Amino acid sequence: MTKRQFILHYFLLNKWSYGFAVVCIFLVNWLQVEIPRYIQQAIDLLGQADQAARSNLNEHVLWVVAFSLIMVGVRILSRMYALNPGRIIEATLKNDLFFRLNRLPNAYHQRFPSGKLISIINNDLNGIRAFYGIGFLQTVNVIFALSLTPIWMWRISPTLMLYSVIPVALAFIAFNQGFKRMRKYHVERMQRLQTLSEQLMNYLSGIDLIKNQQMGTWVSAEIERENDRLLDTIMRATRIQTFILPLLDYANDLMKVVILGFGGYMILQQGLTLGEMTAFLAYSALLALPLAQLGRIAVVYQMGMVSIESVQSILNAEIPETDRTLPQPAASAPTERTLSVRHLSFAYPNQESLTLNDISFDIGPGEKVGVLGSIGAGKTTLVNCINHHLDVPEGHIFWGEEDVARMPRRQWRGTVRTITQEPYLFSDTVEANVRFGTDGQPIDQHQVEEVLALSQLSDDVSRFQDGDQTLVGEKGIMLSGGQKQRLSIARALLSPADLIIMDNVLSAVDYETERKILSGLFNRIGRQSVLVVSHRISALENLDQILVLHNGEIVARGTHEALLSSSDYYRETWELQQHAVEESA
Amino acid sequence: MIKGLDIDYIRRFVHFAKPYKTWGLIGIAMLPLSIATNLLFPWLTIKIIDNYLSVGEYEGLAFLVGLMVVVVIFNYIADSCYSYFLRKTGQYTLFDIRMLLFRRILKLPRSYFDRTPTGVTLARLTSDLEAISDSFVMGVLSMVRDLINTIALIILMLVIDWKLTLIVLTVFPPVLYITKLIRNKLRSMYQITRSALAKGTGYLQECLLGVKTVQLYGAEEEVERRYADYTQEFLQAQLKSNKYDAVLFSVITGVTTITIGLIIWYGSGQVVQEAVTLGVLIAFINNMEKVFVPLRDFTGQIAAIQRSFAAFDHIDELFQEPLEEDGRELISKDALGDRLQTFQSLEFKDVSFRYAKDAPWVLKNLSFRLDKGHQLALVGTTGSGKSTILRLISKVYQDYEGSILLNGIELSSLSIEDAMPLFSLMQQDVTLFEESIAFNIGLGKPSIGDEQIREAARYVYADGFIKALPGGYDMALSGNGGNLSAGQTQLISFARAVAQGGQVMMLDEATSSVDSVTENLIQRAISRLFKERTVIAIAHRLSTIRHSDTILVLDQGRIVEQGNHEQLLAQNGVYAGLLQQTDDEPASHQARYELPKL
Repeated sequence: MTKRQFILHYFLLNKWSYGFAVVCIFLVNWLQVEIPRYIQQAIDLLGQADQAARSNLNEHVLWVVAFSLIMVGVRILSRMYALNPGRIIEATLKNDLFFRLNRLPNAYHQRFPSGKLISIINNDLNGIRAFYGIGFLQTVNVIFALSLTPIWMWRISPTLMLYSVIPVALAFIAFNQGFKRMRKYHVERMQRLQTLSEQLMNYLSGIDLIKNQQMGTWVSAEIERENDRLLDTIMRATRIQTFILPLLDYANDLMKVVILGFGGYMILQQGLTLGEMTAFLAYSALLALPLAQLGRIAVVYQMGMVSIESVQSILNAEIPETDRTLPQPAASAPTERTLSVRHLSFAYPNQESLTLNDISFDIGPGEKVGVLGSIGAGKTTLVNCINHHLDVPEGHIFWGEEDVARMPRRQWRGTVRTITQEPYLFSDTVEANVRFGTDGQPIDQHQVEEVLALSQLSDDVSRFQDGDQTLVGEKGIMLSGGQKQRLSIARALLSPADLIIMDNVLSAVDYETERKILSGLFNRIGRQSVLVVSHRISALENLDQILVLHNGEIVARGTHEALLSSSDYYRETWELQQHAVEESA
Repeated sequence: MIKGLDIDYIRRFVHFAKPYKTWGLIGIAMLPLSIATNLLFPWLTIKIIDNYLSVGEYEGLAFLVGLMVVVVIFNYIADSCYSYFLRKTGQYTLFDIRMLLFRRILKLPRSYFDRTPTGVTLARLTSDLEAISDSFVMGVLSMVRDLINTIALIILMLVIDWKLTLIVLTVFPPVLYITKLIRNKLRSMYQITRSALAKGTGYLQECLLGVKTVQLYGAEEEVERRYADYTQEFLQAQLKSNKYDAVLFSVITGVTTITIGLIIWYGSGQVVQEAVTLGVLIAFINNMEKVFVPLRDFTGQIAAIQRSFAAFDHIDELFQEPLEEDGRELISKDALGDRLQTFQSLEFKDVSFRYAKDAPWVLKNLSFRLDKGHQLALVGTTGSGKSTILRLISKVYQDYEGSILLNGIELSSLSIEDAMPLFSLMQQDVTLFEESIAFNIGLGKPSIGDEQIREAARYVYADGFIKALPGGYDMALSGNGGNLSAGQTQLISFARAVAQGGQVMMLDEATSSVDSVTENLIQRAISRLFKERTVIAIAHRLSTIRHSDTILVLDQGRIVEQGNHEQLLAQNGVYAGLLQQTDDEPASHQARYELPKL
């Protein structure tokens, strides 16, 4: 979507509201220019003592009051219908942005840290709300005010009208220059605010380390530097805001001086009545507000444009084509398919070396496969390729006959369930975390209890004061590392999946708990395929097949027994772990 | 119209502004000039109409018009300088407040961060301060000037013609009443809006940080529905306040012209009786805008003002938030002398701890002792309280019961600055900065040179993989080490702990997530540490901690066994059982992995 299409799209969403608002704004402005005409006639009747003039004058005054009352009503409507769309568009955009962000692949989220995205949704949407709300209202208002008022002035005296607008025209040139520079500073201000937000976010999430290592001075200095840059930009903008932009207001005062001076000369020449001059003064006051508004419109417009660009950076990010289609409803019975990985190679963007090199293997229905590998061997990368978290090339990973790279991610993820190395929990209750991702599926309480028991978490939960209604805190802070891992296992087991991937999930769990979890797990998931990634042979040795991953390549494969004789690396690792076990005996 | 509480905020703000007093005073000094020029303008208008236009007098008209031009110019200078210098004061003050807040946040206890989502704290430091900048510094200050000018104008009007002025003033009571009524509604509306917004933002942030989990669980629509609810709640509150806003604005704008009608109606009789001059009448009509505009602008800015007061409120809360060291009698550096120069001993005496007042006990009546050169190992199932012990020692949490003595001094009476250099902690959750690897190991401390950084990396066998990375030690890390593997970040954290050179090494699950080959290398590094330093370790590999002087076996926050390896074996209790399990593992595998026959 181009910027113009974007503006039009959200504008048209509220076309009826906007349309009604335009009619109201016109009415308000028409009433506004009509009222001074009655004032003018009333003033010109002043000083005439006869009865006819007095009742005439009273009638004019009544019209002034009546018009004023009507104006109040219409103005209320105009403001409601012109400003509401801004709020509605803000809410719509929030949901649209969230929808988009939820569907963008990992590659996108890697490039844009969440602090930046949140800053866009928090700060930039304010700009867009103002653009569609107060920006629209004032623009339409200014257009009517600046066209109707001069016409009504012209009808009284063309010459006086032309002379009186000279100061305003001159001031507008200066204003325009300031406007351009303001735009630049505003962009700068938003950028610096964003950088500051990102940095603050980074430090706040590492607060424990910063305190423990007394890095307060260093982080304060870093923040002070960003803060200083922000202040610098703000002050430059302030100079223009206080010295250049208000010039228009004072030009309006000068306009009154011209009306008094030149208009006064005309009165003395009998070319103008005092009533007409009063009307002129009233019109100049009517010009004052819209002229001052020009300044605000300028700011709102700038903010809006900057914000729209920011928001578009999210909205225009491509969701991969395969993910745009709606997922088909998941099949209820296990699909009995084989996962085939064929000659898979993978390199991270901007990295020359391959993280995975020519990987091929199969996981048949119900088969249990293990992956053993050293640090940086590519274990997690492999997992993230299989579950399509990373962008994998087509033609290398198949689920039955289907190419995973061409499958909608959401459909694939109804089939494959990944338990990640670092569990991410939501600051909600234990139960809500277990139920995460199953909204709308009929799952009763005993299923929740069953998976809690399977992941050896039941005892812990029963010790919590509120049981499974205990709040786990932000990112599960109230739980230990092992409890978090076990909760994430329970969560993964709750909804059915054909392939379960466990990426080093038992690292923070002791051997005893690991043993219980694995035996319970394999009991339950007999017909499902499993891929277990671990650096502990104890977790792998009884699987149907073990792949030994080294530097991104599969260097050996086979059963535990076969590998002991065929792979030196495997045997050494096993001996090291055996050694550890023997030593402790 | 401004409540006492609000004035309190302003007073506090002014207090922060003290260093910029000069600028503030220059700005305020501009006010009299601004008022004088503002009053001269209508006064000259009356003179021109009554003394020249009404009576047909040419002589001197040009001079008065020229004088008016001068008045306008001075008015511009006074107003602009007022705004500029006061805004400058305000912005510099906000700069200071942001730094003060940030430095204060760094001193808040862990419990604050446990109950406050990071997004909320971030909002205090960014959007709240921006709200004050936008509405208070930019809006309110000009409003104050306009208000003072209006009052001065009304006084001038009273002096010129008090009866006519009273007519104008009759509309004030009903207008003020309506304003107050709607303002109260708006105030409560803004509270609802703020809380709806905060809930939505907090949830959004959580989902974005965990977007991988959301996607892997196909929970996109689930989280979107919940977020849409928050958005809807926010929108409804906004639409309502918009309605009140519109009413308030329109009523006050309409009042101007209604009052003009009143003036003409009353004035017409007076002009006939020559009690009021035409010039006065026209000047009054012409200045009605100036009387009512500040009132209207005020309503227009109520939203912004409420926002800034809400922001003041939030920031104030942060300033009230008790500091970690509040209410603690800290021992001063002088009194300490060199008692913390070298580590002597660490003793837990009957220590109990829970994360919150009504939370279950995480640790209950723990007592143990660690002496210089000794090793202490913590063993137990997950959730038994091992990590919590390390958190207490590293002063992440301070509100323990009982007593923890470092070199015989109560730990809670020591500042982090004094106590922590004795310890090096390797954490389970690794925090990395978006800086070079070298920085992440040395943490930018001038006392840790490049050679020490490399030495530390070699010590934990991380040197090899770091050198192989593009840029080596200078490679810049992306957000919390996103461009490293989990094991690599662990190694960097380990190298960091070594580089920090504390006399006591604290290792929290040091070997998890690291593959066996690397683990073996680390084990060698650890055994070196065990020989050379004082160590507190949490480890699942019992072999690692076998030679520790003391092994604590924990279960549900209590010490169930305590002693060295041999003693514990002899007891034949929990520890012996744990060893047995590890020992039995190969044999038991067959049984526990056996799959059900279908």
